Amino acid sequence: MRQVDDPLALISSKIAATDIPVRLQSNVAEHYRRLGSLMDRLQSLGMDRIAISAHVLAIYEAYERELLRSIAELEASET
Amino acid sequence: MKTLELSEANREPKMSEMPHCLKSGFDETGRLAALDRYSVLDTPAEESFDRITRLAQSALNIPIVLVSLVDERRQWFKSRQGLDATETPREISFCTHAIEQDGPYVVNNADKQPLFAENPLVLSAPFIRFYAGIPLITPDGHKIGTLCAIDTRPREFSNEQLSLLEDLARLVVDELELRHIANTDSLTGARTQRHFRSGLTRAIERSQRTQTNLGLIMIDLDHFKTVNDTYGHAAGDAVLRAFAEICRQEVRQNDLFGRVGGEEFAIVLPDCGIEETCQFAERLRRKVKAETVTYGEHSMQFTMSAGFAVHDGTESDVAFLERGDLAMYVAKGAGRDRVMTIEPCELQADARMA
Repeated sequence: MRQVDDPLALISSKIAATDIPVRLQSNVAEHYRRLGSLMDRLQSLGMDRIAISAHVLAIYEAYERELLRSIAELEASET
Repeated sequence: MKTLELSEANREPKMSEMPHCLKSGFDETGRLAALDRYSVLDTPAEESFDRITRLAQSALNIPIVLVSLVDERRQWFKSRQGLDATETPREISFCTHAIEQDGPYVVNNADKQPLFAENPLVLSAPFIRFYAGIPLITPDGHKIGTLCAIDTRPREFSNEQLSLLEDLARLVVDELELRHIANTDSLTGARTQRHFRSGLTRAIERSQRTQTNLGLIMIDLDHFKTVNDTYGHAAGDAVLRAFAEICRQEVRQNDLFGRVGGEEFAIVLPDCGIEETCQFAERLRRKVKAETVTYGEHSMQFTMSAGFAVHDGTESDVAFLERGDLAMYVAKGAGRDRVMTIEPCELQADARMA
């Protein structure tokens, strides 16, 4: 299981490093916000921090793959 | 595709479970159109959704978690943990009740609830006892399905557990929206070329499987370059938007409408033979000709040329598009503002002559 002390900080830096088209920015911002809420919720349900970190990162990384595909799709449709 | 097996004795749904008993005021047509916009039904499983259902399964310690999308006659599972079936008839689904709610829909012991006690999903596998479903609500307010958690024994969820399911349901909608935004042309709202092509491929497969007709119309706006050159690109954009709006008014829920080039569009019409496809194209041509687009102080009128075709049952998506395209260029060459078709046999005759 992957261990990261602050998964939200890692996700935030990944987002900052990605050139996100305007049309997708609010979706990304919402997703990030929801991951924060999800972490709090999992913590209140008693899940341990390592498991929370692994789950949240895995969810973001699956989303990120689709995000990168979507960015490529938008760029292709606008050229 | 694996549909949940039901014993014959349990196959008949109760009247109270039928979708036509949906609450009055429930916008089923709008809901189905919203679901259709995502073009997600019958697509392969995806890690993004599976990660969410696996987390729910683990965090809630529950055997079955589904992303269930409620179509007109079935619920289809985009993601499923703990269940082999890929879909069930809508009339027996718990989710069809859940999408009538604004918040969580919980059944603590289906066996003891008159609405579900005789449901085939309770009486036979998967022997549902506990159900908690959160509606998947689109940004425009339509409930297209649920994220649901199911147990084979009666139980209860705490508010925290339901809130977790709600958080995860919102993540599911984010994922669907992300794909939708990327697949939609920002100017016209039509499908992007790539998304249109994938939809066409699926439509051909479906028409072959069900042995039903499939119509295609390829459209080019006449003298569009002149509009751009005379009035500017913003005026051209206004024309494209007006055309797309006319198309949206004409297409049915299951039709595909895509922008496949600058001023080129395409429409796929499931279950339409040559006459219906021709009538559709001709109706569109007349509506377009009657439209006046106002941009600033300019009033503009425009026309379209269209080529239409009906899939011959064997041709590839590329060949189908090429035949429609060729017919469209024939319509252009014949003077524009008209619709024309080319039969497969005409192409074969041309090929033989060449």
